[in-house]
Amino acid sequence: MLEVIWHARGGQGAFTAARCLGAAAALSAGACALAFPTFGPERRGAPMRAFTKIAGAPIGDRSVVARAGIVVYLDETLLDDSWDAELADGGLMLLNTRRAVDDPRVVAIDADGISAAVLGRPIPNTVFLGAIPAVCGAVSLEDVHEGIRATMPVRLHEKNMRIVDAAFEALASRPDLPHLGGLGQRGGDSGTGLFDLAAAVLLEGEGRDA
Amino acid sequence: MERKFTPYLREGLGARPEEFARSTCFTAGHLTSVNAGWRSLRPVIDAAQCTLCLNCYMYCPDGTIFKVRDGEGVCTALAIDYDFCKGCGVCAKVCPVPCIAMVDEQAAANEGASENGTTIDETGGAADGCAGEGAVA
Amino acid sequence: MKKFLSGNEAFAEGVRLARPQVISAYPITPQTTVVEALASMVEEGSLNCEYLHVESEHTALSAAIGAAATGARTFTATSSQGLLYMAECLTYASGGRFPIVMMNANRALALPWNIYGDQRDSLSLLDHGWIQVYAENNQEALDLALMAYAVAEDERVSLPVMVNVDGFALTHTYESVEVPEAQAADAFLPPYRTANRFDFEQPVNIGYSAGPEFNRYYQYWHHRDMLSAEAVVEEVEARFAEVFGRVYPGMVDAYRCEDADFVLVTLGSVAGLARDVADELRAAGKRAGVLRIRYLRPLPARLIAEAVGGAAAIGVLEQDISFGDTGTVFTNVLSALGRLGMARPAVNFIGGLGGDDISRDQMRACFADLERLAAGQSAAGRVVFLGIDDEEGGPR
Repeated sequence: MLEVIWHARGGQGAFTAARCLGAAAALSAGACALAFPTFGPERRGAPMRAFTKIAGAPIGDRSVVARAGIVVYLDETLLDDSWDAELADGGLMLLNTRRAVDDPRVVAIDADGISAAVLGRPIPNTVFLGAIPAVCGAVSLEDVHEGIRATMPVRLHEKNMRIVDAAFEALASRPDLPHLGGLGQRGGDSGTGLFDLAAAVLLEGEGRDA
Repeated sequence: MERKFTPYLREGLGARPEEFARSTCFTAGHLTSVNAGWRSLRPVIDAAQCTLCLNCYMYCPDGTIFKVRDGEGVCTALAIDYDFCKGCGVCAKVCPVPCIAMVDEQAAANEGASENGTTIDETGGAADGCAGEGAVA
Repeated sequence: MKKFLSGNEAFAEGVRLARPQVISAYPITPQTTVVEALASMVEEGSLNCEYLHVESEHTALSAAIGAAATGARTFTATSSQGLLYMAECLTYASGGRFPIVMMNANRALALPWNIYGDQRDSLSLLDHGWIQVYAENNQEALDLALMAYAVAEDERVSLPVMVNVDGFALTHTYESVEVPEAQAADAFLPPYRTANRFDFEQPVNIGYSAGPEFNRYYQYWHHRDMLSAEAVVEEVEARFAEVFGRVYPGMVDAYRCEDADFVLVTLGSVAGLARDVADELRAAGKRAGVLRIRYLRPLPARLIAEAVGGAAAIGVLEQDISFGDTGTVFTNVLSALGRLGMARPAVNFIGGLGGDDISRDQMRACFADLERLAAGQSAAGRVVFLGIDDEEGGPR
C-alpha cells in the first residue's frame, strides 16, 4: 500500500490534493483508495495534515497514517527536525522550497514557482500531483488528469493539468531523481510496474536545481 | 484542602488520569497543548518604551498577554505567551506608543527571540512569575 | 457509475435514489454536508421533494413525523446533541409506526464538548423502538439509504430506521462508491403505500393515547414487529443483491469465526482494521475471528451466538461507555449469549472516544489481550479503556 501524508496550513489545498490523488488512483488507475484530512480545529493558516492511501485491494485500515512512503510539505515553515519520524524506510519527502536540500530522502520542488508560472500566484498543492507520478508507480500522469477532472470544477481543469504536467516534466528531467520503487507500488495486484518504467525514462533537458 | 486542577503543557501520549480535571473546569489561563503553529509574524514588546497602558492586554483576542509582577505584586511589565499567540497583530495595532513590533516568525524563532514573551512551564506556573496555582493537585 | 465520494456525499446519493417526498433536517457537524448536498439537489431539480427549513432538530423530527402521518416517504438526519434534542420525538415516530429513515452521523456527546466521531449518541438510545444499523464503509452507507426504506416500509415492520455512519471516519473520508442508476433504484424500491396515515376518504384516528387497560398491546406489537424485522432484512438484502449485484450478509457480518479461538465483536468502520489484524494473526497460526454487528436493533441474538460458536473468549470493541457499567454493545452481546446458554469469558475494549484514532497497534493490543483471555491467562469481565494508562493494565 502507498500511503501519503500531506502537511500544509488550512487553506493551502492539501486536502484537495489528497482527495484528487485518491480519485486518480480509484477512478483511473484501477486501485482502491482512501483520502481524509486530520479532524481537528482548522482555520486558514493553522497547521493540518491530510492522508491518501492507495492499494490494490479494498482498504480496511482507516487509522491515521503513522509512517508514509511519501510525505509532502506544502509549506516548509511546518518542517521541523523530527519530520522523518513519519517517513517509512525507503520513503521520500517532497518539499516545497527554493533551496537545495542535501538529503537523499528529500525531493525539493519549487512548487510556488511552478504554480505561479501558470496561475500568476503561488498555489502549490497540485504541483505535487505532478511530482508524485514522477517518483512512484502508483499513479500515472494520465491518472492524475482523470483525478482532476473528477474532483475539480471544469473551469480549473486546464490550468491544473498544465501545472501537473509542468511539475512532472521538471522532476522527470532531473538526472538523479530518487524513486520509491516497490514502496510506491499499489501492492496486492498483478501490475507489472509499467508506470515505474515510464517514470524512469528520463527526458533530456536542463537539470534544475530547485 | 480544596482540590484545584491546573493542566499544564502536555504533548504526546501516556498521560495519567490523575493529570486531568474530573469535571470540565480548571484554573484559567493555562494551556494543555501548544496552539501557535500558524504564526508568520510574532509580536515583540519593547519593554523600555512600554507605558503599561494595558491596551494590548485588554485587546488580545486570545488572552495571551499577561502581567509580570514583582515581589509586591505590582505589575512591572507585560509578556506574551508564545505557545498560544496566533500572531494576529491586534496588540501592535492598538499600542498607542507604539512599541510592539511584528517581526518575521522564522527569523525570531531562529534567534530564539523571547525577551518579552515566555512559555508556561510544566508545573502550571509561568516561568517569569505570573500568578499560577502551582503543581497539579 | 463509479465515483470517489465522502460518506455524506454517498448517503445523499442514496437518499436521492430513494425518492423521499419530504426532507426535514437541521444541520450539525458531521452531518451537515449530507443535508447541504440534498438541498443542492432539490435546488437544481435532480431531487423532487419538499425540503422543510426547520429551526431545530426537535422540529426536524416532529415535522418528519407529521409528514409521515400523511403517508409521505420522509428523510431526516442528525448527530450527537441533535439526536438527543429530538430524542423525545423518537418514540412518537416509532410508537406511531412511521417508517422514517434517519441518517445519524455518529458523534461524541458533551461534556466535554466534542464534534468528532464516537458511538455514544446512537448507542445511548437503543431502547426507543427504532431499528438501528451501522455502516462500515461509504458504499454500505449509500446502499443502506435504499435498503432502510425497504425494511422500514415493509408492512410486517412499519418502523423507523436509524442508519448510523461514523462521524468523520466515514462522513468525511473519501473512497470509491458505485452509484446505482435511478432505474434500478426504482425497481428495487417502489413508492410508499400505507394505511397508517391521514385520509380524507376514510378518516382515521391516528397518534392517539392508550391508558393502563390497553397500552401494553401496543408495546407488545411494537416489540414483535421489531423482532420480525430480522427476516425482512434478509429478504431485502437478497432482493438488493438481485437488482444491484452487491451482497450483504444480513444482521451480522462474521469473518473467519467458524473455527476461531477468540472473536472480536465490533461496530462500524473500525471493523476493517480488526479484520486486517485478524489476518495478521491467522498468518501467524492464531485463530482469530471478527464479528461485525450490522443491525443492533433488533438484536440478532441467535446469529451472534452462532458466530461466536466455539470461541474460547470474546472481546467487544466499541466507541462508547454506559457510565457506571460497561459499554452498551458489551451488555447486549453478553445478554444474548447468556440467555442462549452460551456465556463465555469476555473483555470490553472502550476506544475511539471523542474522535480518538484507533491505531493498528491498539488493535493488535486488543487481540493480544483477547488471546490471553482465551488461554485463561487473564481475568474476564474487564472494561479496558484504550489510550489510558492506569492500574488496570491492558491495551494502551
